[in-house]
Amino acid sequence: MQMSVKSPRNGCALHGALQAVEAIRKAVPIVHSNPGCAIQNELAARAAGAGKGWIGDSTIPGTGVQERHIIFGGASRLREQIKNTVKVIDGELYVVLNSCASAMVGDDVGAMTKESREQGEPVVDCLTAGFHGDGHYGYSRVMTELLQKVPQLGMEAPEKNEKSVNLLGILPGRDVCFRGNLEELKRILEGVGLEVRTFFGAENGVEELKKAPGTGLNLVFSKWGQEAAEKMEQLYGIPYLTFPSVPVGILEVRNMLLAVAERLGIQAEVAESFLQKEEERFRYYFRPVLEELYEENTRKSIGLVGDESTVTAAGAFLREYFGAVIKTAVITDYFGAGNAAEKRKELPEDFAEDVYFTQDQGEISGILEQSEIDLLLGSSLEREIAGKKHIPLLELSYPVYDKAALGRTYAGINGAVRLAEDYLTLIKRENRKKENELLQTVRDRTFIYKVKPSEESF
Amino acid sequence: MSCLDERKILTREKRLSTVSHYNGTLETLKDELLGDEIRQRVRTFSQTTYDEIIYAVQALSKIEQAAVIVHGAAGCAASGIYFNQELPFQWYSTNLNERDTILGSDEKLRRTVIRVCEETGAKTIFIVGTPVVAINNDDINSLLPELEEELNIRVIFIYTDGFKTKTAVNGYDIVLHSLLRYIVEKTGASDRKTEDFINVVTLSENIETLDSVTKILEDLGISFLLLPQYASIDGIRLAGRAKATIVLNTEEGGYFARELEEVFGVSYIETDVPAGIRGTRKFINQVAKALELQERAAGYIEEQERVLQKYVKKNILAGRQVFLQTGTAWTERYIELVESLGGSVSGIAVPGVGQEDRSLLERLGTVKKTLPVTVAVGQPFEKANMLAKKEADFYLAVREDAVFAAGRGCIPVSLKRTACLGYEGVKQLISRLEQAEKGGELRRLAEEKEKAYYKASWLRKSSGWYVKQEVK
Repeated sequence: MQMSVKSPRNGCALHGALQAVEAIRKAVPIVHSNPGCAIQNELAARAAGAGKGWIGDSTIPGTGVQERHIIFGGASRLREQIKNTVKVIDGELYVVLNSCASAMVGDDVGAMTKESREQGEPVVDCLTAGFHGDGHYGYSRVMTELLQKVPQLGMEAPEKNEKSVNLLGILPGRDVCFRGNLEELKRILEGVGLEVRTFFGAENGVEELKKAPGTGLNLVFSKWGQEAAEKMEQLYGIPYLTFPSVPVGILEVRNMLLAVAERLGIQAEVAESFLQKEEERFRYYFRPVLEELYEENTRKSIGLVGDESTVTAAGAFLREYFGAVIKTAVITDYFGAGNAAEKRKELPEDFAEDVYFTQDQGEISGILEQSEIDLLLGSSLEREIAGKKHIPLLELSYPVYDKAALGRTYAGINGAVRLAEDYLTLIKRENRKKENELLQTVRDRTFIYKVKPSEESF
Repeated sequence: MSCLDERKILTREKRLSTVSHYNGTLETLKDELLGDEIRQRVRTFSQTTYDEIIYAVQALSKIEQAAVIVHGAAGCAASGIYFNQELPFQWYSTNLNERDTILGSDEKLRRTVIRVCEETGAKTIFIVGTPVVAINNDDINSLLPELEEELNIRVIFIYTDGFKTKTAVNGYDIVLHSLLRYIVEKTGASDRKTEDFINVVTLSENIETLDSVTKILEDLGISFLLLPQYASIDGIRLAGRAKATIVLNTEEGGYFARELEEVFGVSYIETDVPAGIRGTRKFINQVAKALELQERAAGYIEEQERVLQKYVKKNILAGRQVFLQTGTAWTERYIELVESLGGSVSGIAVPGVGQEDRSLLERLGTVKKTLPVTVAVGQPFEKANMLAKKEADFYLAVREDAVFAAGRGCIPVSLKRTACLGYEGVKQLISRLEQAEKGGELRRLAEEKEKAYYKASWLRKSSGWYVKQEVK
């Protein structure tokens, strides 16, 4: 039996799909649900750090189904909403997303969207009833559907460009730094002459979806991009490369770039020339603090909580460059078949001493309470347990309260620098705090501080 | 017979003929509201908006010694991430999957309640209903007494479903109904113990507003209990012992005060909304009169208004038009406040109107006949259309989002993090208006973003184009 969840952080399938569609510039979601289903997600997203896509909050069109639609069916209400949405909202693609209620009453969403499509409107649909899965699943589903259906809306097949890549598996919102991470990967890949489609960038995302079948290679940066990549291989013959996470630091960037270069036939000198410049930049940033890195004792036992891709990316970087020992890792986006032991095998063997798979805040707190760690990297939901253990917390996984991530990245070279800054800052603060505590202890032992000042002494 | 005799409270549409979809002028709205029949409407194009589930979770999230179980798919509890940021609280989801929608979810709920009871130490567990459970018609009522006996803890089902009402504030009613029925200590009106405090009913007011209002009460020497926001279960239990009750927003908390008076004998001081100088003065005088503190109040009002004069004299809104979004009950005083600062109101947006707003509409509709009004929670497409036609310098949003107004050339002013009531509210509003005109580049960014959403053909249409009478 699927169990209850304390402080659920992963939303539902509708939410994941909605966040993806919102982030595609010029795509308009039409939510076929109760009035509040989408706002649930918008409120969470507002608090979580990543902000919204190009459309969001109460701007999102929605059918707002009422009792009569539950009793008599809501298909006609959906038809009406689609018809009017294309008249009111200026989009280039309209994506109908259904919900638990509309799925339970059996509304024929496909028929309604087909009807509009036959009238020449760019409307597609994706079944995203919340009870089917969480937000990660919703992303996976909607990207698979969009990459299959949107290209069919165009009149002509897109031109093939072998020197182009699509980026998959970086989830808008769930990856709090998705904008910055996509931009950084784009910068790196463009550095060797590739055309890069992120779908969620500043460019027209709908156009990118239409051009996607002409891509030379799909790059998958988490398991949630796998389904779309497999579908595109099957439909369009586009091969894909899978990485466990976004690359962080020059070693990982090198590995990724050389693998991509090899698959796409980019000359090794071109890739090497770019990498050398990146390596020089990387060193440029790190050289000034090398002494501090040794002096401040950055070799901490750490705990990590978050999506698999966030946890593995940050963990690998901190282990290599800061000598951190990953004592405990809690992966919060583990679902589906297979037990934890099998899942553990998919992660690098030496990745962490203990790996757990849960999104339940009660379990997470229990795990961390037992874990001997000096420092924690996780979400804002871990504040309570970090406070209880008196250890510092670096908030980088969903949700992150009280921080705005506009172009922040924890990927590539710029992201490595940012992560290093944040990590080192946290350690320095903690070291100063401990020094002050020690100073107080020493003072308390010292004679002069034991003598209470009396009025006479002045 | 009291409403509290019933397990469920009727929806606002059924109890008060509340309308949440309307677009027209104040006069036509007044005529309809004062007529024989208030006609329900629908929007044939709508944007996603708040529902009663979110309002219920929000209200419950602010109650100490309580734990909240959202009985549905995990996404139905997602707003907890937002409310937890404001004030950490204990929230759980029964995390229903497809199997549960087919076979029912009683056992899962049972296990979750036991878990929450063991883990949280909460004095009351609230279970919030969702569409999945309502459509499945799970029998929760037979489960709860059994669990209460087994666990020796109060377990309350909040009868929300997300689709039977179009009025989100109904979520507050359901929570308040449950608090009155199950939490507030019951004594007969005759043998009621009275203690020296008053109840201050608050549901959605931000902390800045509560700071402003409670400062007034403190200065007047009035002990108070805020509830249900920021109250504990133990505190709410005592509500029946108060000398009196006041409500900061009657459309949200009026039900609580009325039932408390009718059933528990706690007198309800029906005050003016303490918004603006006049409203605050009237509020203080009404409270002072009921509590026999007139002398102290007179001196206090004089002193406070003298201090405030230097701010108000600036006439910051002289010659400026303001489109106002606020709670229905606050509208009259907010119009007055805008006018006291030299401005005029060019349109209003309120979340709902019903029978209890008749006298308000009668007053406003007579004076401001042609003033455009939209009744909606959210629906920025309609407000954008109205702003495109009716010039406004400022879009003043007391509760909802404001930035969309930049797309129509207005200066957005959001009061979400600003005191909205009391003397401090006046000062902070003036400060917000001063700040709002700065940052021209930011406004241009917002204008560019917001302009992109709506088609020009829509903005040329009548703003009420998609509001239709509901076919019965």
